[in-house]
Amino acid sequence: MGSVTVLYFAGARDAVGKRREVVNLEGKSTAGDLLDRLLREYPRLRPMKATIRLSINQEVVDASAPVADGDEVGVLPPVAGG
Amino acid sequence: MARSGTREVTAHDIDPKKIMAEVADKDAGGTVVFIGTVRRRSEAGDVDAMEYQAYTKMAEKGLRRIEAEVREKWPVRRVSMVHREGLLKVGEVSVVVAVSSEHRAEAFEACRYAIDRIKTTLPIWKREKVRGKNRWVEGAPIKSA
Repeated sequence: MGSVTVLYFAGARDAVGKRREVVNLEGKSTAGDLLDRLLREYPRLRPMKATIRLSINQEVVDASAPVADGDEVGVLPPVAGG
Repeated sequence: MARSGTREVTAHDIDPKKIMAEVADKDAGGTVVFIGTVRRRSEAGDVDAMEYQAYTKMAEKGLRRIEAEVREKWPVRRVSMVHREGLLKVGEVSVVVAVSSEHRAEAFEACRYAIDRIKTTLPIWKREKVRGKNRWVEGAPIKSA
């Protein structure tokens, strides 16, 4: 099982009201499973569902990517650097 | 061997001259420097300030990856890239990319490529303050590397 550290940024940080939290994994999880859980937990994240991407250990991943104990997961709204 | 300069996200003022100096190279015949600044006008009106937020660890990894991509594509000499975080006023420097190479063509192309990749693949966001209101600037979903 284990746990991951979830980091929230920009509009996702505002919606969730925290910068980071530790989330316990429920059995075998993918990035998509984890995002679904976060969307259930934080209704204010839901409008951003289609455009949020997740990173695992600082790499952007697909929904099918496995999440493992100790991973650092980033919740990334659309970016606008420069 | 071509060496590297800065590749960082910083909370301090960026001095473009310093970044330009970092790519100085006696084997270079051309240096291209892109300087991004906070623009006054936005869709919502005149901007009072722009707040940049970054996932620093991932963004700095991204800068190193972008430099590797540039070096695969063009025989450049030196590359330096720095991006701001924190609160910036209109006109302040938000990003600098400097590239030196033997000939100007690859310096122009590599610099353009690097700033485009910074905008689309780095986890950096900005929130504009317009008439007392804060609004995250609408970007595009981050592209995987």
